[in-house]
Amino acid sequence: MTKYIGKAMPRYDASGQVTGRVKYVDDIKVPGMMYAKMLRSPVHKGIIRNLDFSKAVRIPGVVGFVTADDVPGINAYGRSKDMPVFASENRVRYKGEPVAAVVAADEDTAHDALTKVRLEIEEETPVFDIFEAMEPDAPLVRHNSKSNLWIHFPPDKIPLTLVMGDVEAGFSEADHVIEGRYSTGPQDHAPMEPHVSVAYYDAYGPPGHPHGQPDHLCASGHAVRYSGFAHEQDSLYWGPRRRRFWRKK
Amino acid sequence: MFCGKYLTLQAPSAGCDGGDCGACTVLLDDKPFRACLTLALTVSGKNVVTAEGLSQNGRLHSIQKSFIEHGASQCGFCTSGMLMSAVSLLKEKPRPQRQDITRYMSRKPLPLWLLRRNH
Repeated sequence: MTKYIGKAMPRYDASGQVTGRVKYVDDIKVPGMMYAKMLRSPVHKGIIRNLDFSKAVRIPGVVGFVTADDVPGINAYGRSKDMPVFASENRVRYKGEPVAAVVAADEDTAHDALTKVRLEIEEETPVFDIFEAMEPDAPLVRHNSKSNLWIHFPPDKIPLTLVMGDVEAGFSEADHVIEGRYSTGPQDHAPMEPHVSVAYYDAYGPPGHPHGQPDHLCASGHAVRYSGFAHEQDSLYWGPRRRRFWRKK
Repeated sequence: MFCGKYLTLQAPSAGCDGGDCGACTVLLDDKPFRACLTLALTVSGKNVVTAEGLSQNGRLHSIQKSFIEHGASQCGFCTSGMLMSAVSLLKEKPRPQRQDITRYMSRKPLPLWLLRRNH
């Protein structure tokens, strides 16, 4: 042990990193690999009235497209129907929500094909503020729900109120009482590596080795789930330890 | 990314694809360039070096050795960009001061700045 304690040890993968030999998911190439690109909603809220791929699929190199109809089982990440893989029931609820994906022989063609997809969305009034969303006449985020409230606690039953000491006495003795609403902004780290996943069937039989950023809630998890791999945990390639960015689902 | 797609060089990573992050930095005639903003045709006849080209005959460049020694490679994704910037800085200023390093490694509009200087 004394060999290591207090000593600066080189990282086990450092030499691969400084010579560019480490493979990131974007570097993985599989023979005959296809590329999928997401078609995302250009509006904050709306009803999809028309989704026409006829021009897009005529571009040479375009293999096909997938929409919510092609998702087997529940159209959702994990178990939450609130996170559909593709916009479900023809509704988009935020700008950038995936509506469909176009699959092509290379990335550029897939990009081109996206521009040829005819997507007509009837725009609806979005709601951006959480408190506005709680108003009784607020636009509904989920069209088939009665209100935007997901969980509601009566004021005396709010589960996370922290009280220490005599609050009332503290307020009455205070020189100044300042009231306000405070919140902590969302925090998210931004890994530089683009969000990509690669999945493939191995020639040596199931379950194969889909590569990517594995997580039950992740896109690559879906590649696994929907491509019929039996044991997703066993079949995932996790890559070198430091390549797993938690943000990347 | 021309390097990755057609030359099977994988060291320059496509991070932002917009010239901001610098992960794709390569040396173009000893000057650092953002590969993602550089059209492959424009480098015809020029000398392009990626992190793969830093080590010669299996011997690591001193910068690479230093990155390993100091644990500077971190996750490794943008390391090749940092290496190329560092190599270029050392070529320009063999004994850089701390402020040279900060200025050099963080300057953003690299391609434009260099084009102005070169032409």
